[in-house]
Amino acid sequence: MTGASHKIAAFAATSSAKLSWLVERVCALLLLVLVFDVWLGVLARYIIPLPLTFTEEAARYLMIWMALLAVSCGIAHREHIGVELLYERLPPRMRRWVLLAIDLLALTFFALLFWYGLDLVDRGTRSFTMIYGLPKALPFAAVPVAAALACVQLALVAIRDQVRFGVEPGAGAIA
Amino acid sequence: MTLVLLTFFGLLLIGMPVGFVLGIAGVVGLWSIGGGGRFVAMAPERFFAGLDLFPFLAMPFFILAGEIMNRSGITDRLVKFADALVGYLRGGMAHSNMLASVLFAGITGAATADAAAFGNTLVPAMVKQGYSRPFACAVTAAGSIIGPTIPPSTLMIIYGSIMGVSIGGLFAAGILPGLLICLLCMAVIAALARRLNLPKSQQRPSLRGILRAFRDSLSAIVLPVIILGGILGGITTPTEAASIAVFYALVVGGLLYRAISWRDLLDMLIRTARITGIIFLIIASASILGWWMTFNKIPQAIAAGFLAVSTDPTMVIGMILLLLMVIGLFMDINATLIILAPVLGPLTLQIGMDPVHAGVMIILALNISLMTPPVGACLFVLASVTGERIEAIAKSLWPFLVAEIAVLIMIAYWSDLTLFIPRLLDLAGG
Repeated sequence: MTGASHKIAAFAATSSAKLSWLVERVCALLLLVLVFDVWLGVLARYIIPLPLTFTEEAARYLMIWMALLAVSCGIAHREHIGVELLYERLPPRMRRWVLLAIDLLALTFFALLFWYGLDLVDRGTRSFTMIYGLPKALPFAAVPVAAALACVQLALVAIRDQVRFGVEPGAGAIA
Repeated sequence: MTLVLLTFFGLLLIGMPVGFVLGIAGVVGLWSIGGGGRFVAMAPERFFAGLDLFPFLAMPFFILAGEIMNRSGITDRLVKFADALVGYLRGGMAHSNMLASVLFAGITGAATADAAAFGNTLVPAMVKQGYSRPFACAVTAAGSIIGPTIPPSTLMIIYGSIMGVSIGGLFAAGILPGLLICLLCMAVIAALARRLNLPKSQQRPSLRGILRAFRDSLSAIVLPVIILGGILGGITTPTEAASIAVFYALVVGGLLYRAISWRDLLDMLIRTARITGIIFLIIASASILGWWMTFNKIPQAIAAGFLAVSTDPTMVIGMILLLLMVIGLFMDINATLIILAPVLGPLTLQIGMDPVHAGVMIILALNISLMTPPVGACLFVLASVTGERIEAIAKSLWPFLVAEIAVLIMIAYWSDLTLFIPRLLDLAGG
């Protein structure tokens, strides 16, 4: 391994960790707002009768934004699990290529989701949500944004782990 | 059709995460319909629509409430209470492990959470007292599936949301089966106690000890009462009840026990978001594949195939259970549920099953697959937490597995067992 590839891998690892750190905090904030939003709904329904109609709709969209953004954090930590029965028994050299194939295929999937997700958002600017009349583009945008983040993280962890595999062939890919 | 199946199983086999596999197989399916990728453009919409359900909110909230309760040391208190009740028996710690699983079930909705919490604390304690580690792991694995059988349960929220079955009804129907699993597994422990020469502690049960342990764990025992009371009483929706559970857990953990700092809160919010992200990716991706299946009328084809073999309800139920347990052997249970519920749900209606009864049966079959070797998720969690080998755990596991399959068969063919409590609360029949 050359020094240059080490530098690239280190850069990819740090970038992935930093991006995940930031997105995690955004997710935590969204979840916190979500909790307060549903509490407000409970309060309005059972305790103080307030004419609040937005809480349910807001809750659904906050939840979707939170969960989809968190998908990229799961990628950064390689937390999305699969059936690794066969994978674990592969020789390290083959494992490296299988992992690369998995990452590239997943990258293609999220790239498609991003590309066609932009269309979805575009259509969403012309339709409006049931209760509050917001343009649907707002919730729909969670799909391409999350897909783009997923692509970036997949590329970063692929670089990180490919170089790591090159250095210590016996290494697992789990961060 | 063949292409989608090949993609699906091929990618699954090489170890690609389930959430990605479902999405890619779904996109391949949409592409194979034709129209020059016109259908592929639908993928993001299906992806989004798969998540756009209000009851799903209950999932992150129950996860968060469980995280908070766990962090405030509530698990230990529950174990102490269970130990005060049954710890004096031969194999006492195994019995109290099982009983604690029931108590813990009321605050958690996922089996892996139970397996991780008990694998960290109870298994080492049992080993110290002289239990073999594989046996301690097997008891924990067997008990962990009580968590998602007794409400709240993530799987029941998913099933109820996508199938339009009352989540409250499913929750109520899960109580007796969960208790039955506990009872039968405790019978297994009692039967094995002499043969395996399980340790016997010296302590005598004292009423005062029981009362003190009860008082210490009261705050944890009250939570399921609040959750279930609200939902089963028809007062709150599951989502609202789950948000109240978060509030309650914060008050107990933060103010009463003072066990949670702001830093902890941030950690728990992040952990909850990440766990939710993992489950929701599977749900969203599965709904792309699910749409393709519906478009090709595959659920109807599978149902017709089943009914062509036999129209006798006894046989059909048997085939359904077999299918679920075989697929559960190697598939993530959330994904299996989302893909198979629309196939099996209508089939159970056709043979005259109550939707709540059918739902609980399907969910229990999937839960049992969580602890079947080679790839049961609970076994994996336990193996990684305790360092024990899965093969070794599996050897100690089979008596419990037999007991739980017996419960499943009882549930499947004796509907009163599940429907008794929902009927009592007027929640049966969807």
